[in-house]
Amino acid sequence: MYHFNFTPVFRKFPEILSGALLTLIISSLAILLGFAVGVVCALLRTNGPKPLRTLVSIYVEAVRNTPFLVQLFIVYFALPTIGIRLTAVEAGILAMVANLGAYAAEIVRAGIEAVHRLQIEAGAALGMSRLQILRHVVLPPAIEAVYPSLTSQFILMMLASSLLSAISVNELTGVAQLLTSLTFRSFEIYFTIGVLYIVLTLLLKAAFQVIGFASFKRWRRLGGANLVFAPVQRFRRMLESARNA
Amino acid sequence: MAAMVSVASAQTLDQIEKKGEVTIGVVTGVPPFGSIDASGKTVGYDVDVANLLAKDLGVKAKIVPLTPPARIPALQSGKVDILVATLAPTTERAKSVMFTMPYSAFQQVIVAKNSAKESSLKDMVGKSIGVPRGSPQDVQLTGMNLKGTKIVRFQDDAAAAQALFSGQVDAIAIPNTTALDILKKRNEQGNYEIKFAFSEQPNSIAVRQDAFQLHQWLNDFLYNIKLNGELNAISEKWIGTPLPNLPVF
Amino acid sequence: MFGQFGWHAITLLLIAARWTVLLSVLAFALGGLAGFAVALVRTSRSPVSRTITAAYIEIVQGTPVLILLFLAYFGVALIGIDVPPLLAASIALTVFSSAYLGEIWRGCIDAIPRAQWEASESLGMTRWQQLRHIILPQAFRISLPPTVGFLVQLIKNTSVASLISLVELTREGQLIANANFRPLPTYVAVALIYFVLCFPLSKYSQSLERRLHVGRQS
Repeated sequence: MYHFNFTPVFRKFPEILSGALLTLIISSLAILLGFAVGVVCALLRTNGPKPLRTLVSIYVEAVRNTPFLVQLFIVYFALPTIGIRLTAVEAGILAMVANLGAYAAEIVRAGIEAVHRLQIEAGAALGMSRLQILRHVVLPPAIEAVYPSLTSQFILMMLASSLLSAISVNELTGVAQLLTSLTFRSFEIYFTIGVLYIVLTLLLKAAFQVIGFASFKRWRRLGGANLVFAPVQRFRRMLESARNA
Repeated sequence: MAAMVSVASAQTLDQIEKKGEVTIGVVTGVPPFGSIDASGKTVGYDVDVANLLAKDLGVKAKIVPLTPPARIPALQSGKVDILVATLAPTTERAKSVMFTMPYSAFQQVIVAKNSAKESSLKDMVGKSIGVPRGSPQDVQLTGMNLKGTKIVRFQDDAAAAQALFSGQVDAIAIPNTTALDILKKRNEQGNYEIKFAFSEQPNSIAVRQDAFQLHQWLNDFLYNIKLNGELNAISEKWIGTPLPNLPVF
Repeated sequence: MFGQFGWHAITLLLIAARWTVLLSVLAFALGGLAGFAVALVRTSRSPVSRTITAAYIEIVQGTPVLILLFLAYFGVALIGIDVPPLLAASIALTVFSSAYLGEIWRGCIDAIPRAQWEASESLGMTRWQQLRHIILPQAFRISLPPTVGFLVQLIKNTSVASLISLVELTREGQLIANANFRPLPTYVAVALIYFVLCFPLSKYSQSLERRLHVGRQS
């Protein structure tokens, strides 16, 4: 009968926490950059010239239909053969940004397309330039509408960072694997790491809620009654009205 | 059936000489110590040692290929009289069989580009060594606290080799047998090679617990082939490195 | 650039890809059955049942697939069984699928307007009859796009099994790349095979969505 023994896990907790910190740092960086890439690509897809639109389409479909692990291996193991050698952390972040960027591009694009034509025409009537329209009339409601999808994808990316252990990064999963072979308490360690990932997930969700409150006036107006899925209802209603208009 | 077994087994030197042949069990599936070649013959380091010992006994060698779990049972049941089968002489096993001094060893080696000049762990300052995460060599190297040497951890041997071949690490630390396997599989000629070994896990010959005469003779045999270089030649042939310093007991 | 990467390597990759397909089908089928149960319990009238399944879904969705894989691998080893990687991967991906499909289908059941429930209740139907004749058929229709979309995710996630040495497509690619030192064409070939498996399904999911005129689920 296997006896569960968590004391080795607690003794190694400092190492585990440093791994979790690295996960958080890498993920935050990748989320920021990936979001930026996604917005740019979404704008190119909806407002750019045809060749750019096709290029972005190819990029998005290629990334979304291939596994992240393979993309990671290409960046870390294969790129050096054509002269691009990145450190493990650099390669990991690059792969994460490229991956998240493609998903974010699709999500934000849907949000942009859902912005009612009348809004854009109103902006033009007010004498706004194309760029100003995008910045003030299109993007803010677009992002607010897809905020739940977007933040879900961000959290998925943070979870996917566990694969960076396969290219030698000592983030949370990497540390876990190392400790497993040192202490042989595999089940206890992976259980603890699982709990930590759930904690990180909840932390990120809370952070995104706070950011949402700070960024979206509508959330503040709705006060405490605003839970994450309220924008979804509004988004769906927006789609319906756009379809029926 | 029991009668057949007792006739087949032979433990004293007299019995072996009378039979004219000695049954030696070797392991398969552990290249280069024991494996099956393309024509179905059992070949390897262990087989060479087995043939050598039969020759010294002055009898024919009957080589019996065994899978790892079948080794000790085959010896105990009399199916074979001697095991030259890459057995580590653990105290647990020593409760059931008698071990000679070691005759081979799994070595941990450093593999790097041909052009690399390092010849010992001390030379690895400023370099990175890739290892499979949590492997014996990982634990050992990390415990050594080599100043200025970075230990980089990957999922397994294949991933570590990938890192070496794509230049992400300067060298990797893997068992010598795995090293040979990986280097052989690469079609490109000789860009990488084994630089040096830095640790050993020895293997011994085993006989039944009451085969005192045979045990004594085998130790003497091993002592001699170590002295005259024959065992070293086998090591060079199958593993590509000279015989390491094998402990004796 | 292609050097020694040729048809032989591609054949090996395609042969290894059968494990990718097998694992996906297995996890989708078993996970689908479990996920269906999860979805039903998640929408039951008992708040206790709802909370338990909600917690299950949150926990599985909040854990990386790799960790699920290791837990399955070491967890089964605890009962003293020698765990083949395929078994561990199947268990992990089945649990993964059950949570995600459960959540997707729960969302589809929830999307059916309250009026449908009320109308069928006034006709005297029991909860099971309501589900069987009114709710589930409608929920099924709108569940197709995200379900097919999830299948794509599942196929991609089978690549993680390579990290416990299951020799499926990604692992085979690693082994070949080590032998021929052509990681770029090798991994691109691996990616292409995944693409060929996933892209048609992605497109199908999108066309299903268009045909159903359903708003995108979050």
